[in-house]
Amino acid sequence: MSAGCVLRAPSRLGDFVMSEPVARALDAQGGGTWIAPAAFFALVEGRFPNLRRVALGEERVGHYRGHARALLLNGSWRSAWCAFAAGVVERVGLSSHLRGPLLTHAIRPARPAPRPFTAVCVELALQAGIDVRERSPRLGTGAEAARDSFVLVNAGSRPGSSKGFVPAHLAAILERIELPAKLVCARGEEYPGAEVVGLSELAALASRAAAVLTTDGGARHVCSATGAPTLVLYGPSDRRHTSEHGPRERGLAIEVDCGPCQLERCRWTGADERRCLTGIDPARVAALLREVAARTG
Amino acid sequence: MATPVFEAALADERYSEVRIVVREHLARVLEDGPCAPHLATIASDRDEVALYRSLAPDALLLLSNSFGAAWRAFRAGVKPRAGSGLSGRRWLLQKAFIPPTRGGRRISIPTAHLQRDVAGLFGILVPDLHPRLYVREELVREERARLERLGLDLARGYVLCCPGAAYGAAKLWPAEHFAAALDGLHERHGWRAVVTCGPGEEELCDEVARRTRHGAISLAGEPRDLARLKALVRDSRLLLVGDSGPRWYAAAFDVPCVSVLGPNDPRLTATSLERARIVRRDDLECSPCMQRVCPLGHHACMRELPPQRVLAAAEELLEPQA
Repeated sequence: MSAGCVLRAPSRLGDFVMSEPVARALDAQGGGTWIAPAAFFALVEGRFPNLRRVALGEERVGHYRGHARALLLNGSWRSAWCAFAAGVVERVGLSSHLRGPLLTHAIRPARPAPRPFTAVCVELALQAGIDVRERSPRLGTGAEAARDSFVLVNAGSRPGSSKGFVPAHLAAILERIELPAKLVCARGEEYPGAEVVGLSELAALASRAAAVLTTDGGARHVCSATGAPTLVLYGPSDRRHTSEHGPRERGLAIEVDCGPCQLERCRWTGADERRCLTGIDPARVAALLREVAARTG
Repeated sequence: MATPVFEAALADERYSEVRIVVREHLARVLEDGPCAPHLATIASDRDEVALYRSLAPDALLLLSNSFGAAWRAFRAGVKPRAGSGLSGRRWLLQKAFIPPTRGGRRISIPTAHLQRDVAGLFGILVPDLHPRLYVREELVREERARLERLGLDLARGYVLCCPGAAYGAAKLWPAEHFAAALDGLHERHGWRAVVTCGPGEEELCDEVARRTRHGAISLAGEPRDLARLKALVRDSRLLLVGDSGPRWYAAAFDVPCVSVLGPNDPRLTATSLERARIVRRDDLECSPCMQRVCPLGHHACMRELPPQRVLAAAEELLEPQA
């Protein structure tokens, strides 16, 4: 069913990880072409031999030419246009961003509740005849490695983003964590004490850590997909977008009257700024982290 | 399929009390588990309205998609009511989830997705969609004793077969096909078949057992209910079933399951497939028709689905275990 299929992966890291089950299913059901940002392929090195990888620079019509079917898991208009212009017979994707006329299977998203992105990917894959049997994102071998006694902490975010930890709050949390903490971040998301790591290194560290403490960013999904016991502190984001996280991940959020706002920048200033994050009790974080780590079995 | 939603609602600290309203016969599915103390059973539609009025809940989540369910909730005056906006019932609900559409028509999405999204209307987070059921050891021992009394060698393992389908004749795979598949599994693995069924399906159950060459055990004449079925499924090596409820029992207990689909759309049940294989004909223009009785009369989706395909699916599923 899936022969001659081109899979356009999402361009955001978290969404890319959440769409991994679809790539796995496509690989198992005959293979095809996989278009994704070049850096993300480092996470799946050595896997999916039946998928021809196309590292995304600028998206071109030529990427889609010669395929019978295109499954577009991103939201860009350009992708839909390229698939259309390349003469792909069946084009499946969400109809957002005025893509409807360019798709043969233009799916109008469900409304009004936010939905887990993995579920949306699975549904689009079903429309393209791809049967996704295992829906939990998986990075690495899947084999359980021996874990070291440290907590991997990813507290970074883009400068000014409402998703990042406030330094004083992070310090209060770190004081209460009993295990040594290794602080990491991505380039451009630096914060005091954190080491900049690449995606492969992040995945490797997560697969060795006793537990991971993270913000709700792309790194969260990478760590979780390696099978690491993960505690996510939600700030402004709506948990329903990513609620299908599997048994090893746990989330912590507090209810605030302004949230979940989904805003990149907090609308408040002073003591109220990022109160959706700073209001989370550090002692509760430490206690939950212990629980999460204990799930390693 | 809805058990992950039940458990998520029970775990949600914002709700001081959660009651799960089910039809009487379905209560046995949920007994022995965390949902059991929270069950409220109803025998009729009238009961349902009366129960809602007596419970007077602060919120009502409808996991059923029927118009009647929303209408009864409306009649009882419970607010807010949340559910899927299907079957023309959007106006009866304060919060309605509208599934994805294509060209204005609803597309087939897994029912488990729909239930999870409806729960999301009240902010209830369902972390995974894998169904969970529980069965007390005492009942398992009872069922084992019964199977031994009927002549089954438990040490050799058995295949459980549920050939019936309450939905309608279109969902039924012919008894001779079931029997041939069960014989094939017996030849390859030495597993004897145990055939069971729902109320009114006793004749079919007996017929499948009678047609097997290795002498399957029919439970048609034995006491059966949805709680005992849990014990039977949990202990079996493989479940062979049509597109019916026991399929979800197998998923809940992580028992390998081969399910034969005819008129139904496989996309509606495309969850918890890790240990399941769906066998169907995807080369028929008329399938999936979603009809209870074949409108064309040939019933090719089931009659022309050979037992060999079921055997091949079973072997593919069992391969990693070997």
